[in-house]
Amino acid sequence: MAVFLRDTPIKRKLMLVILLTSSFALFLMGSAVITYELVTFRRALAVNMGVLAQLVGSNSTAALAFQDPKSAQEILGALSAEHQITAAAIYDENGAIFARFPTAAPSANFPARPGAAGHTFEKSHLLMYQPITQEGTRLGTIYIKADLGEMYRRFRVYGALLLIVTACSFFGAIALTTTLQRRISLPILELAKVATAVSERQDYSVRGTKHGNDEIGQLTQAFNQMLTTIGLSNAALSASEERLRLALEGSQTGTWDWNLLTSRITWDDYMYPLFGRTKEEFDGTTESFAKFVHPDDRAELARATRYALEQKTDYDVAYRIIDVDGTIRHMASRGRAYYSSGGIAIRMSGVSMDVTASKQNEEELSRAKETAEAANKAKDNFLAILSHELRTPLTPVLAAVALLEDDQNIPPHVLRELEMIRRNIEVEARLIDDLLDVTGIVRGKLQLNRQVVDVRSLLEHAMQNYCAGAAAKKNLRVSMEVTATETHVLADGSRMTQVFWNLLQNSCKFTPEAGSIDIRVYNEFSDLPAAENPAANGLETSGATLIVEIRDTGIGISPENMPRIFNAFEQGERVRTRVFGGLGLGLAISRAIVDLHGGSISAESDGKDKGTKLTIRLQTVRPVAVARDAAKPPPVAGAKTAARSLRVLLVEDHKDTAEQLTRLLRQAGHEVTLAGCIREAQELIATVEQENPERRFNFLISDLGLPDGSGHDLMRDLVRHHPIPGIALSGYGMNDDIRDSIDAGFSRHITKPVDWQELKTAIQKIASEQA
Amino acid sequence: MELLKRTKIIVVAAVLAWLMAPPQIVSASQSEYALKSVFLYNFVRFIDWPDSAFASPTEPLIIGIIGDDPFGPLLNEAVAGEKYHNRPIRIDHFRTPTDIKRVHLLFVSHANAGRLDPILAAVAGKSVVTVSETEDFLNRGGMITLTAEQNRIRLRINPAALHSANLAVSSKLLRVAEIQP
Repeated sequence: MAVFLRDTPIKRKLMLVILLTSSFALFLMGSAVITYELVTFRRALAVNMGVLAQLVGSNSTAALAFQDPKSAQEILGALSAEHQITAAAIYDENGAIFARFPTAAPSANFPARPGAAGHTFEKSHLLMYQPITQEGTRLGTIYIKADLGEMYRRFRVYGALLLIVTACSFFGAIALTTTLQRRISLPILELAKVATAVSERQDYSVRGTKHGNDEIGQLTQAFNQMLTTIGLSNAALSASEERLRLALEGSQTGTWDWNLLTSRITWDDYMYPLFGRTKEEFDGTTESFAKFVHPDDRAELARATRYALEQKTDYDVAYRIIDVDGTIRHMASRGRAYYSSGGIAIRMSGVSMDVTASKQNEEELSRAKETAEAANKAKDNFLAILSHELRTPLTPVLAAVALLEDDQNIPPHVLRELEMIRRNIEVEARLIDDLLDVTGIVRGKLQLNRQVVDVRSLLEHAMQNYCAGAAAKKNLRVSMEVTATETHVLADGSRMTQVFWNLLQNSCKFTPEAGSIDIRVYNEFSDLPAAENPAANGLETSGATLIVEIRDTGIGISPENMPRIFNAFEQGERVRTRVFGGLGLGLAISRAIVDLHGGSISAESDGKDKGTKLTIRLQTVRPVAVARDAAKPPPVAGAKTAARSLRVLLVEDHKDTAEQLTRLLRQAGHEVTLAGCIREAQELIATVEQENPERRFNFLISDLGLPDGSGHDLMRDLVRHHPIPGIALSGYGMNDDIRDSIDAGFSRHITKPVDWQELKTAIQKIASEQA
Repeated sequence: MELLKRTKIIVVAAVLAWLMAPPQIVSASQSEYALKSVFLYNFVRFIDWPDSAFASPTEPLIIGIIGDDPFGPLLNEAVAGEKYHNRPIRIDHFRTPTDIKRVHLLFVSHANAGRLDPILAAVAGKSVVTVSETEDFLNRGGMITLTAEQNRIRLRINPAALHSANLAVSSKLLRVAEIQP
């Protein structure tokens, strides 16, 4: 029943319930009425028959008493009026039949003996026995048999009636419930229709009609409110989805979600075109995904994923994929893992995007950068080689001039010419050195050999050696005012000298005749703590800044040129280059050197032809133990020291240079043996060692760029077998080159063209140290 | 009482036997008087005597037999233990009509056919039921006759006589009897 009713429409269910209930009630009532009627009927029948029996019995006492069966028969005959009675009999006091009704009935129709007093209902008859007494004496028994046909007839009539009433009420109930149940089922059906419309068309704008304020009315209201809420949130959701869709579509981005518990990856619709795959090709497994990834990137991708999960960091990977037609594309995926309260990673979701274009841009950019860097390096190398090649020929010329100047027999007018030649070659060498410096600065190869030096003495030296002559020629007034008390800085002395020389030379160059150059040296004291001073380098700082001002009355700098004056190869206005000469590298090199020292250099000018003020600011240190060597200026040309005779092995492949140096060295009192290459030098060393060991070489002067190798190799070999001091000569004068030479075992590295005075001093110094 | 009942059953059985059996086998007189004795007693049941017929509330109802007694012990047996309205029933014998003193039911046998008038005269004006075997009895002023006819007893009653003697006779009795006007 319950199963049967489950899918029946509510309309029919209601009807069925009502009909069943009413029918059942009707049936119960009808049954009760019938039962009551039957019971009453039986009782009434029994009472009736009892009365009749009593009557007949009482009337037949005399007949019994006076043995008059005929009379008894007559009395019994009266019973024929009661048609229910089918048989009756009077038994005498001995139990024999005395009279019978109907008279013609055979004895077999009657019980042979009377039964016990009282009545019994048989299937279709009521049997009754009643004693006949007169004055307390029993005279006999009366027997009555009544037909129950009447009762059954009545029962049938009642049953039929009940059936008719039930049928009538059934149909009446159908008619009634059909109309009445609409009040309940109609709103429910309408609500169901609305719900169907909502679920089928996703239309949240429809509303159920409220018919009343009963439970169904309340249900309808709640349903409508729910629809409103769903409609609103749905609209918000689709708006948000639309935004996300546009954003993802516009940015060529797809989202993915990786369920770590089931190991399933879910892609949104944008992922498939990104990976160039169809939905059939990707089944959501990690294996399926890994197949799309470039084989070389799979391990790294897996490692990055593991790392993100283990370290609980955000996931950010880049990898290549191969799409279905074999094209390699670059992908970037970013995401985040989400963990359960127990710290177990449950899922990871994020976005993936195609970064092929930017990757290609990046690669092109990096290629372009590499090309540019290579070109720049080539330029630097070219400059380096160029300057080396330009300097090499100057060495023998300088050596020859120096030899001639030392010659006492040279007439004075020739000496002047020689001096002019030497000066010009030195200028050219300086220009080439500047070029080398600039390339070194560009390549970041300029290194400082920092020591505590006294700026004051460096300045004085620079003034005397590089400025005094030129100034005197142009009738310039040069003055120096030193008010500074702290004049020591941690600096590379030769590089600082170079800076001062450059600045003074510029001032001389650009200051017209009868102008003046004023140098001021003073201190500024600040409260900066020592630790914050990067130049301190473990030394105690004085906390003072040393300022060197060089002010001239020269051509000045126009404001538009001011920002460019420290750039390499720039020299104010182009037109002046021709007037004043030079490459315009001085200020750029100076600035680089000062910057490397942690100081600053600046220029000021009131304008064209209003003079220039150059200011250098350097951090001072307190000299704990000032190294005298560093404080001393570089060897001064023309300084004469007593020479000690050495057995020198000169290795030089440039014939002119070799001849000039041999001559100069011999003039200085040294024994010189010349070798043109490494092999020859080694043979000479071996020969002398074998034949005349006490005459072995005790000094090596070697060019580095030799036909069969580098002078470094020769020196290293010597250090191992016959350690002797040596000086390297090279067109390359960069710090790396110098360090390489020292590492190889040379005591000095002198850059070509060789300044004979410098070489002579160096030889003397090394020799005295050796001794 | 038990004994009495047994006796009665024997009597009834005898009556039945007489009724059903062929007449030649059973002694006619004996079965006849057995029945008549029962009838006599039965009259007591269907007839009401006025209270004036009794001297006291406890006085017995007296059945009198005049002359020879044809019943022998049968009548005694029939009434033994029976009562009329709480009054015991007694049987008295009278030799002559003059002997008749207090009586309520008087049986007049064949033997008294010759002296019917004196007998009736003796009870005239009194509430006495007179029962006889003689055919002519009712014409003489008697009330009830019992005559043997074939194999049954014929009962004839003169209700007027009973009525005039201030005796109430049950309609049931009248129904089973022949009414003599």
